[in-house]
Amino acid sequence: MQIYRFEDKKPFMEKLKELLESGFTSRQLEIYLPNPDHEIEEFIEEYWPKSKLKFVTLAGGLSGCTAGFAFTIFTSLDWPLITSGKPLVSIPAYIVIAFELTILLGALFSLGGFLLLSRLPSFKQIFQPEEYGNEFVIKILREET
Amino acid sequence: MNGAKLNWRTLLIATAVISVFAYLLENVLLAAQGGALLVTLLFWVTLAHGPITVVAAADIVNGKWIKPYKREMLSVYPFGLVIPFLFLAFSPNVKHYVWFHDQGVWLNSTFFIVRNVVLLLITFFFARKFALESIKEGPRKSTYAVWYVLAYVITHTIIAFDWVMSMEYPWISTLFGAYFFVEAFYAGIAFGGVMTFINYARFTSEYPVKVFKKAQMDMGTLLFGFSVFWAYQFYSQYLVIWYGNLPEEVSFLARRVASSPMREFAYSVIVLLFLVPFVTLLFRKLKGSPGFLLCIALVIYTGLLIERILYVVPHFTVNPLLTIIEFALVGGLFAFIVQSRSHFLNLS
Repeated sequence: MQIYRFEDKKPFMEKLKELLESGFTSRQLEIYLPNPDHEIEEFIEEYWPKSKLKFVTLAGGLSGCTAGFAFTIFTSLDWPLITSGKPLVSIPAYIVIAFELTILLGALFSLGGFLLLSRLPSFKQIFQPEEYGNEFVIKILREET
Repeated sequence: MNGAKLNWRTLLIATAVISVFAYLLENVLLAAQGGALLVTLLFWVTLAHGPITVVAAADIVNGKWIKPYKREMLSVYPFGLVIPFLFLAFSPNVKHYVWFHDQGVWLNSTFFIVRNVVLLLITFFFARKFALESIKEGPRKSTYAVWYVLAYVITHTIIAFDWVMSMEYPWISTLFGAYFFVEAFYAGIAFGGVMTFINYARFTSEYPVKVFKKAQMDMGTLLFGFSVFWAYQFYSQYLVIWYGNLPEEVSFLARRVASSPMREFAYSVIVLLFLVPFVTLLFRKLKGSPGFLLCIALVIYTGLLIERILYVVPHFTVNPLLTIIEFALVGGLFAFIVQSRSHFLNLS
């Protein structure tokens, strides 16, 4: 494992660019910053693979929507009660439940997906936090792809 | 595009000519009921105020992303002066409203005309103050923005209550005003989409592509957000009417969805104003394409126009030919105003 430590952002960015252009991928590199930095985030976004989190959220949202309609329609048909002359399966009233479940499952799936994709919580890192103070750090985890 | 440009004098002359022409068409030549003019007014009033409100909202919260769009969005403010004139041309047709033969204090033909004209002029006054202050990033832009937004909200609420809701008297819906001004805001954001396409070359020459692309993405996201908000408001109103099932409330919907082809048009409004923008704007790539933003803006405008026609049709005769003529004339004037922005915004 190789570690590059920089006091300033500029040489750090240059080294990072050099490494990324020479073919290192996000799986091989780890970077540490003293503070959140949008410029660096935008820069690495071009090299990092796109997150698959959105598909997890979409799956959650769609299953929530389906579950909402399925649940309401099934219960109405299973125990038929005609209310104020409306049809047994009254979609306008079910939209509320389907909508709420879309949001709920979408949010829960997003949280779960985020934890899964970021491999969190990682107990190894909780017990051995790495601390670099004010430095910008690039860590090469493994050389070969 | 360097063609003919308007100034205040030519704008007033053009407005007067179009208003008189519309009045003659509706009342003297064809004895129509003013339906076509009302549809035209209901549609174009959204574009007279909506784009400025988007800038005002961004300015109030100190949003910097709006900056590349400011000039184009604010350029519509002189159009706010055209609307009261057109409304005056429509005013003889107030006699076709159902309440005309049984007037009260609020639904009184003189008061009806006066309050609408006054409110439209007040909105124009604040729009002008705000546009001129905002374009030069003056210190009072947020103050004027607040005044303008207040005037906008009140005016559009009254427009919704007076021009549309009073057609259905005694049907009332307290949400209708909010629904109306949110729609105008939605149309305003869509105008940003149109401008992205038309002025793309200028935007990217004045701002770094990355900066402009970000603003464009924000515009796309806002459009997406408002498609959801529109659906939310539509549904909030629909659900209460549907659930209550009271004759005086249901009549508003029943008149519009009971028979074909009105029913199909009513459904198409939901597809055009919600489903199409919602599904397509989910994709980042599409939001980033100026051509696509133009298409989606046109889809939204088509939806708005159909909705406006649906409001008016059960109560006024809407002559298709007159609608096309008046719509095109007012639209042409709108395009001229946007093109003459350097004069109206005092830009060198």
